[in-house]
Amino acid sequence: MKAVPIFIFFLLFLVSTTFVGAQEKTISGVVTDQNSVPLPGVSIQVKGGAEGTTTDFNGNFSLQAQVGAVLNFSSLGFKTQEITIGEDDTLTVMLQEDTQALEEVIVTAFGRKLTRNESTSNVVSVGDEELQKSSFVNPQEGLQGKVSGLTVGSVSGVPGSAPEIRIRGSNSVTASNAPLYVLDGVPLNSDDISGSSSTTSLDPLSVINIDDIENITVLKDASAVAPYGAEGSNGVILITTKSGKLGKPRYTLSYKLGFQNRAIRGLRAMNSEQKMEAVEEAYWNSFGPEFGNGQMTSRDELHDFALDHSVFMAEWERQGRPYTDWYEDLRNKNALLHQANFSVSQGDEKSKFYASLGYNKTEATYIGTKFHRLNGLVKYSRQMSEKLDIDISATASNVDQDIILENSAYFDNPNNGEAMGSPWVSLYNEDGSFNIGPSFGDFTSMYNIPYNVKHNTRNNNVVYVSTNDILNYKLSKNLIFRSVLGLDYMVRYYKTYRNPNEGDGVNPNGDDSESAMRRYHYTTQNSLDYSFKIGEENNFRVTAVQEFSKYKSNFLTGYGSNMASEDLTNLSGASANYTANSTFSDRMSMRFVGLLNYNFNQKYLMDASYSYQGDSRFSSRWDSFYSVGLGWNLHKEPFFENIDKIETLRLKLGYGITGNAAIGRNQYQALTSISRYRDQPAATVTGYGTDAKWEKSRRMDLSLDYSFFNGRLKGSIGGYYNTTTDMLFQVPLPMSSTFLDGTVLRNLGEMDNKGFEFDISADIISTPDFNWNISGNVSLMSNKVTKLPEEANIISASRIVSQGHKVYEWYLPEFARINPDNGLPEWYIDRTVNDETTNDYTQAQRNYIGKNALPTYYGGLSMRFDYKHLFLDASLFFQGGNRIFEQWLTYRQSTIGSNVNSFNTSVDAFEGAWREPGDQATYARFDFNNSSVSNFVQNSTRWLHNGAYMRLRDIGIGYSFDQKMLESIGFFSGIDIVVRGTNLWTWVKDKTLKYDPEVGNSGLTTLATPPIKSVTMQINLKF
Amino acid sequence: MKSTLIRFFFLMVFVLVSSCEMEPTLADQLDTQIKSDKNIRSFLDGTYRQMVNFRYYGRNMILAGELRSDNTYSNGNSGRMTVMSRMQLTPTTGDVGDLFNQIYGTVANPNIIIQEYLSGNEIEGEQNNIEHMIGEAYGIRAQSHFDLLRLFGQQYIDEGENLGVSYITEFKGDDVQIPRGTVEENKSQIYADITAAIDHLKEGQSSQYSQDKTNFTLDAAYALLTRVAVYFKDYATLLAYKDEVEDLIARLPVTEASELVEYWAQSTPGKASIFELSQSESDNQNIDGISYIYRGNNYGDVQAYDSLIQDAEFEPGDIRISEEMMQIDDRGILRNMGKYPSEGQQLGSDNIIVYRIEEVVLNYAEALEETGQQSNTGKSASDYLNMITSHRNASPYTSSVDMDDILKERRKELLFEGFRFFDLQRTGRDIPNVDPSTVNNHELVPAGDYRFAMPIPRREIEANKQTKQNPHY
Repeated sequence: MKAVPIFIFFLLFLVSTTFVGAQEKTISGVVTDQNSVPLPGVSIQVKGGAEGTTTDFNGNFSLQAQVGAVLNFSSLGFKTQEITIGEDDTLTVMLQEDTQALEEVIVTAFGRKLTRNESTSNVVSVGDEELQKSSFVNPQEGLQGKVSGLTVGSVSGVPGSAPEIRIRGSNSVTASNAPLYVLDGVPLNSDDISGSSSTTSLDPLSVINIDDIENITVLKDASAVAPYGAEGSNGVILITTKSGKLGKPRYTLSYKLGFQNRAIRGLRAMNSEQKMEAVEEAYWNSFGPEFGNGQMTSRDELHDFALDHSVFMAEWERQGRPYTDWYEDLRNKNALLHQANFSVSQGDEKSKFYASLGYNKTEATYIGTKFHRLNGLVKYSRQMSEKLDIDISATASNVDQDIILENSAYFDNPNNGEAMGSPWVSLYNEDGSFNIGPSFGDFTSMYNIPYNVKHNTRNNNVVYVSTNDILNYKLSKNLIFRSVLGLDYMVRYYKTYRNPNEGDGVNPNGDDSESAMRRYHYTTQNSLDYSFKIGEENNFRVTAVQEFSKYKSNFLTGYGSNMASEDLTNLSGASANYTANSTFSDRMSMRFVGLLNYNFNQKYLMDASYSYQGDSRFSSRWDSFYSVGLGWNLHKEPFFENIDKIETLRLKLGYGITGNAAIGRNQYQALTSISRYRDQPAATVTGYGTDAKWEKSRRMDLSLDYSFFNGRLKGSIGGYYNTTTDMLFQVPLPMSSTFLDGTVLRNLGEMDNKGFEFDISADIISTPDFNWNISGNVSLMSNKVTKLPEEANIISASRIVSQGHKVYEWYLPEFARINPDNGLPEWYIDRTVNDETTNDYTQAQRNYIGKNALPTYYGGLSMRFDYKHLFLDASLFFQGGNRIFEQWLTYRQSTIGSNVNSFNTSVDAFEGAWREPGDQATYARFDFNNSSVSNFVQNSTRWLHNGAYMRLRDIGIGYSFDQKMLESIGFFSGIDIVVRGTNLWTWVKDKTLKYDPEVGNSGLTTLATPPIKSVTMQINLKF
Repeated sequence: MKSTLIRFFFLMVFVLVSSCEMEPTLADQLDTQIKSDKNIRSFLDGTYRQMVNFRYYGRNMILAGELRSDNTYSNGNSGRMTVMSRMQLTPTTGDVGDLFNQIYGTVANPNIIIQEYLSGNEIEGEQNNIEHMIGEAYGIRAQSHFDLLRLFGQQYIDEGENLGVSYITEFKGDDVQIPRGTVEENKSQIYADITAAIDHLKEGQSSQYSQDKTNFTLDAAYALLTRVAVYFKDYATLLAYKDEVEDLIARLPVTEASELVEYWAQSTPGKASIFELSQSESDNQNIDGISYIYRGNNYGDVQAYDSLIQDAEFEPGDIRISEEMMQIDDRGILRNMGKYPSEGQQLGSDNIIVYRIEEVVLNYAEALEETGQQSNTGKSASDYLNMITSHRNASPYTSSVDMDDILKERRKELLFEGFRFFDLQRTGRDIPNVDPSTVNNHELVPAGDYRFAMPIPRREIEANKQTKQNPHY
C-alpha cells in the first residue's frame, strides 16, 4: 500500500519532467525480463535526443516521442534493446538477460565491487541457485566441485557438523588451514562450537540459512586475499546475504522434503555365526597341534574347547544363539530432511526490504541425532538523502542439535557400536524391553546404545543474534565514507545427561553436565573510497580501511551426579560431586589497509594493497602484508577488438604476502593451569611459551580469463605458486624435557604449494526452447615441504612432515604378504634396501610412501539441460592422487582372538583370513596369542588405500510452470517443482577401501557418522 | 543533518581510539614464576596430581609391576593393557610412552621450585614451610627418576651398556637433549636427591606439611631410601640409616589382621601409611583408574591367574585371601577386591598408597637377611617377617629365612600393588609363563632377558638425539 504514494509521486515526476512537443505522442508500455517479470529502473532514452525516463517498480513507463524515433532500453544485467516507434502507442518490451554482463561485477575484499574488466583478482562466485541445490544445512557444503581449487572434506555426516574446507590445499602444518569467512563484510569466527570435543562438532556457519544467501565468493589469489593480510593465507570466503529487490512485494515460499541414508554402506561386521567360526579358528590356531601348544589334537574337540574357554560364547549358546545386527539397530533408516522457507522482498528507488523466516529439521543417519534450526533475517536499506544511505540487517537463529559421541572408540559411539558390538549379545529381551544390566554388561563391554540414545541427552543448543549496520556517506561526488559495525552474539548451551541404569552413568548413579559458552564478537570498519581520473584514460580508485575486531568467550560449566530420580535430569536433581568451572579468553585483531585500483582505459590494470595488521595472539603483535596485481585486457587491444568471436581475453599476474595467525590464544606465554589436589590448588605447566610470529605465505598467480562466441564459451585458466615461510611448527620436545604437552611453537621451515586451475563453461545449445550447458573445473595441486630442520620433523603414527617430502606424507612400514604357509603377516624389513621380509613387526622400517592425504587432482563437471519449462541438471565431483589410511584397526579389522571374542571384526577379515596352508590370504590367521597376528593391525601399508573416487554430487530434475498458465490461475507468479538427489552414486577406485572415500583432510578414516546420500523434493511458490 | 554527521564523526573517532587495546586478558592461568610459599605449594600439589594420573601411580605404574609377572594378566575385556600383559612392548606402545612421558612430567614442577630456590631469589613465606617443600621437591625428583630407572634402565639385562635414564635437573634449560646417564650415575644422583630431601625435610619438621601423609614427608624419604637400596641390593646404604628406619617401624604399627580390610577401604591415610596420593569421590581418575581395571563393570581387564593363591603359597585363613580381599566373581574370574576397593564410594575414589610401613619392614628384613646383621634391639630378619605374618593370620617363619622367604612374603603382602615384576627383576629370577591357556599370556622371560627393560618410546628417540634405545627394540 505504501507503493501507491510512490507511484503517484513517480507519475508526477514523469509529467513534470517531460515537456511536450506538438508533433510528439505519448508512448507507454511495460518492460519485462524473459520470464515476463516486470523490470523496474530500466532506463529509456530517445536516441539522439535528451528525453528519457525510467520504468517504475511495475515496469511501466510513459514518455513523449516522435513516430520513427528510436528508443533505447537499457538496464544493468540486460542486453540493450532498441525499438523504433511505429503506430502503436503501447509497447511491451522484453529484455534479454546479458549473462556476460551480469558476471562482470565481482565482490572483492571489504565489499568493494569492481567489474572483471577492472580487477586483477581471481575470484569465483557461486550464486543462490547453485547453493540451494545442496541438501546440507551449512552453506559451505554446496561448494564441493563448484569452485576450482576448493575441496570440502566430511568429518561427520551429522547435520550441522563442521566440514573441512580447503582452498588450494594445505598451507600450514600447525596453524589452521580453514579459510577466513566474511559475512556481509564482517569476519566470522568459524571454530567448532560444540560443547564437547568427544562429540559431533557444530559449525557456527550452520546458523545461517542457505536460502538467505545471495552468493558465496571465493577469493583465492594474492591480490584478492592480501587485503585480509594476516588471515588471508588460507583463502577467503565472502558470504553475501540477499537484499530487497526493486519492484513490488515478491513473496517466496519454498518447502523441501527429503530422505537420507549413508552414501556408502561401509565396512561390515561379522554376524553371530561368522563370529563363532572366527573365535573357534583362533582357539584352534592357538591351542591346536599346528601352531598352538597342542592342548587340542583334533578339530572335533574345538567347539567344546571354545565353549569352555569363552564365557561369551557359552552364554550365547545357552541363550539359543541370538543374533544382533548392530548396524540395523543403530541406523536411522530414511532419515528425514524437512525444510521450509518464506521470504519477502520489496524495493523502490529509496529503500529496499528483505525479510525471511526459515525452518529446518534434518535427522542424521544414526538414531537419536538430529538438527533443528529456526531463523529469521530482516534487511532494510534506505537512502536518507542524496549523500547518505544506510543498510541495516538483523538476524536471529536458534539451532538445536542432538549429537552423539563420535570419532573415538567410545562404548556409546554408534559408529563404534556397529563395528565392535558383539553380535552374540541381545539389545532387547524377548518381551521387547531393553536388555541392560549384568545380563548385558557381563557379556560385552559395549553399552546398550539404543537404550542410552533413548534415555541420555547430548545436545547443543545455540542462540545466535547478529546485526550488521552499514553507513555510506558521499563526502563528494567521488569520495565515499563507509562505516560498518557488525555485532554478533552467540550462546551455546551444551548438556550431557547420562542415565543411572546403563553405560557411563551407572557408576555415578546418573549424572548431568552442562556448559554455556558465550561468544561475543564485534567488528568496526571505517573506510574512505575515492575514485578519480587523471586525463581521460587513467582511472584510479583508492580505498583506506581501518578495521578492529574483538572476540570474547566466556565459558561456564557445572557437573553433578547421583541423581534423585530418572525424571530429574538437571543439576537440581544431582546430589554429589558437584563441580563448576569458568574460563574467559579474548582476542583482538586490527588492520589498516590501503587499496589501489588503477586502469588505463580498462586496458591495463593494476591492483595494489598494503595492510598493517595486529593480532593479540602473538608476542610481537604487528606485521605488514602487501600485494600487487597486474592485468591486461587483451580484448581491448585493436588487434583483438575486431575479432568478434572473442569477447574477453584477460591476462592477470599477481604477487603478494599474506599471513596465518590461527593459533591458540595466549600461547605466547609460559603458563600453568590450575587443577586441584586434596581440594587445594594444583599448578601444572601447560604452556612452554613462544616468541613465534606470523606464518607468512608468498603467493604468485598467473591466469587468463577468456570468453568466446558471445559468451557461450568462457572460463579461465591459471596457475599459482604459494610458498609458506616461517612456518609455525609445534616442534616436538623430548619427553625428557619434562614438559608434558611435549611441543613448543616455533617459526621454522618452508613449504610449497603449486597448482593449475581450469574453469570452463559452454553453452553448447542455446535456443529459446532448448539449452544445454556444460561447465567444469579441474584443479591440479602439488605440495612439498622444502625446508625443515630434522629435529622439527613431525612424526605421527602414520605420517611425517619432513624436508623434501609432502606435508604429512604417509610414513609406514611396508606390508609384504600373508605367508601362505602359516597365515602370519610379513613386512618388508627395508624395501629401500632389498625385498627381504620379516614377521617381526618391530624389525620393519618405516618408509616414505610418496603420497599424502591431499588429492593431486580434483574437479567437478556439471551439466544442465533446459527444455521449455523443464530442466535437468547433474554435477559430478572427482578426486585422486591421494591416499587414505584406515584407523582404529584393532577395533575393526583385527584377527586377534581376544578382540574377536570380546567384540567383533569385519566380514572382510572373516572372508580374507588365512585358514589353511596354501591360502593366498589377505588377512592374518585368527589367533589369540601370536605377536605377528596381533601386529597385523599395526600401522602399515596394508591399510593404505588409493583415495581416488568419483561421486554424483547432485542430480536434479525440475519443472517451472508456464507463466501464461499461472496468469490464468492468478495469484501465483511462479511455481517450480524440483526433485533432487545428492551423492546417489559413488565410484571408488580401490575396491578394498570399504569406507566412504570422502574423509577429512587428515586422510584418516574415523569412527564417525559417514557421509549421506539423499533424495529431496522441493516446491517453490512465488506470488 | 550536519549535527548528526558531526556526532557521527565523533562516534567514529571514539571507536577508533577505544579499539586500540590489543592486550589479551589472562584470566585462567598463571605464569610459571615462583613468588611465594603459596606458589610452591600449588606447584607441588600439581606434581602430586600428575603422579596420581593413571599413566603413573594412578594405574600404569602398578600394572607395569603386576602384568609383567606371575600374578595377573589382562583378559582384554575392554582391550586395555593386552600388549603389556603379553610383554610384547614396542617403542610405539601407547602405555610405554604414557609412562615415560608422565613420569618425566612430574619432574617439571620440582625442578622449577629447586631452580628458584637455588637462584637465591627471595621467596615470601614461612621458612619452615619453604624448607619442607624444597625437601618434597627433591624427594619427588628422586622418586620419579628412580621409577624411570626401574622401568627403562639396563641394570638387570644381560646386553646393553648399563645405561640408566636421562636425569633432569632443570626446566627449560638451554639444552633439552639430555643423554642417558649410566646406572651408577643415576644411582648416585638419586641418593644425592634423597639426601637433600632428608636435610630439607628435617629443617621443615615443624611445618604443618610434615604431618600430612598425602604429601612427601621425612618418613617418605626414608621409605624411598629403603626401596632404592634394596632395588640395587645396596644394603649398606640402607643399614647406614638403621636408626631412622627402626624408629619409623617403631612409630608406625603394621596393620592388624582385623583392620586390614578397613585400612584399604578408608578414604584417609591409615596409621600404617607413609605416603599416599590423594583421590576423592569428586576428584579421581575415574574410568581410567586402577579400580576400574581390577573390577570395573566394563573394564575389569586385569585378573589374577587362577592358580595365584596356590602359587603364592597362601595358607588357609590368611586374611589377605579373605572374601573381602580376593574373590572369584560370577564369571569365574579371580579378582583383587580388597585393594583400591572404593568401598561405599564411587569406584576409583581410593587414595593410591605409595609407601606403607609393611614394605619398609620387608625391605629392612631383606637387608638384615642378606647381610646377616641384626637390628639395634637384636632382632633378626625372621622377626621382622613375623611382624607381618603375625598380623595376617599366617604361620611365622622359623629363624633361618632366606631370600626366597622374603620374596614369598613380599608377594603375599604387596600383591596387586605393583611390586612383583621389580622383585623378580632385581633378584635375577625368571618371569614364568603361569598358564599358557590364558589369553594375553607372556612366554617365560628368563633372567637377564631384554624384556626386563622397557623400550624407550619412539618420540623420545626421535626428539632427543642424545638418547639411545635399549637392546632388541
